[in-house]
Amino acid sequence: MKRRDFLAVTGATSAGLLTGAWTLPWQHKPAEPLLIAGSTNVLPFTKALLPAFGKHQGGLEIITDGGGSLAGLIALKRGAIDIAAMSRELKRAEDDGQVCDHLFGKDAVAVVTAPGNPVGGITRAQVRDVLAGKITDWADLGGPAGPIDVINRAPGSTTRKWMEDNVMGGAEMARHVTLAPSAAALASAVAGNPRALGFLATRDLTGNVKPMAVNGVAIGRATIYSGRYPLTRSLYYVTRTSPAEPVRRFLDFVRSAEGQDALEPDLLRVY
Amino acid sequence: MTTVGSVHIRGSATLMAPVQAAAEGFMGEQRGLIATVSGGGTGRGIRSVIDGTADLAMSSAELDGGDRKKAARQGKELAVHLLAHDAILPCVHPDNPVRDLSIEQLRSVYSGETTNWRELGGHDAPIAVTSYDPLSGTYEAWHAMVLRDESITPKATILETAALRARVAKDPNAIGYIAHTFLDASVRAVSVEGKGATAETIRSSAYPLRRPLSLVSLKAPSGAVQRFVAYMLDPAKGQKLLAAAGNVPVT
Repeated sequence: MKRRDFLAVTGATSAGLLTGAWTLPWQHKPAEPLLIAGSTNVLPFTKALLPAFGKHQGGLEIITDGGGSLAGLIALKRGAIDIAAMSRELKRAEDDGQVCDHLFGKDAVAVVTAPGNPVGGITRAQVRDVLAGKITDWADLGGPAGPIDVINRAPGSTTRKWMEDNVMGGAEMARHVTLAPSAAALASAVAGNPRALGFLATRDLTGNVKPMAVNGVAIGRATIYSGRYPLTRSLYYVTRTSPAEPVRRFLDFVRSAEGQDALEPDLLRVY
Repeated sequence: MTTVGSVHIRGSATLMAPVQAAAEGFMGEQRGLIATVSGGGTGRGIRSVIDGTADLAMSSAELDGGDRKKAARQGKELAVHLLAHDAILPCVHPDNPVRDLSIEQLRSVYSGETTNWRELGGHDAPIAVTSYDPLSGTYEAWHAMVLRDESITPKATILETAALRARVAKDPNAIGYIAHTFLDASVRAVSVEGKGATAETIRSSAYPLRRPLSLVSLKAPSGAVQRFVAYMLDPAKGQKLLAAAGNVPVT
């Protein structure tokens, strides 16, 4: 099986289709395309990097796809792809010493309420229980009694997917809640409802909603960089420990001022 | 926003809280500098410094020759910046009558030779040994100071810090060990060779199970990295945060 076929036939692709392929200006014949797959959270950022990267790279074809952090990592370890995109750190059990992870950006998920809501903080476990439908009343979060109107994103949202993978701890999200079709719709639904609770990626945060402190830590640039804010997302490109030349060139670009500029303002730059 | 430099820090959970607080203070005073912090354990941190995915490793163990050799094979040299000392405390369930153990007794328990609390002056009950995974700096320090040439009993239950503490708090027959930083009233610390761990006994090295906490970089690190190390060594800044976390600062 050819490497490229792997993406099309395994679990490494969500829809069984390649979601993006770029052939960059031809200069010399490339040996192999660069294959990047993994976290759907990372996919838009990879796509944002490619046009700028392409200006410097002649004849390097890049194919990128989602599929999830774990599927990407497995595909990398099997040699099916060159770079696994991950929206979390490698777990101890996944770290076999043969791969290394390159941090390229950070952001976070804010848990938001209407500005007038008196409850200023929530714990990570309470976030899970509210989204699972186990906590349903503001009184259980230290507020005045009254139902919590959970506004969730529709399945397919990458932010929702990240919350499912990293916060729910195996619990299912409650089904009978309002589903917002977009981050902007969620923000305005929460802003107009004093009993609402929802979540937004930092890039989607608007001034008309109030982020809650999580485990006593307010969301902010400093607490996201330090990782103290509990719903911080660290985005990585994972490669083999001695990556091939085209992979190294891509990583160098991602770390460069130009690469980081292409990721801002949707992500916090890390270089 | 323009960046003038970045410092990526990774490693030991023992150093995590004071280094995260320091990173926030550092970014507050050094405009344009970024400091990111993540965990993964001492071994992972040092590997990341060698492979270039981190600038500083948080280390809670003596740097071993293997790491230096691994760096040397890639033409790199590691530099250790000592920040503080920390104690490792054997701990048991609060109801356990055993109050003191010698290093010899601890070694015998952890190598699997001694298996009943009766042999240590306690009740007639089997000893449930708990420990950390081998990538943890706390395990490495325990291995170097207690087990030395012995191997750990395969019967040991391997847990992470919070889970280990919870297990010992729940199981009257359990024994574990924990960094001073993570000790709380849910478990009882056992003195070692008649010495309890206090700031004085750790500083004077009278308490036998003390270890260095340090940051590890490549030799001749960038200006941004040097500035972060200086921040950690500043008595009014990093050193204060390390002391607040239960460690004994070097300055």
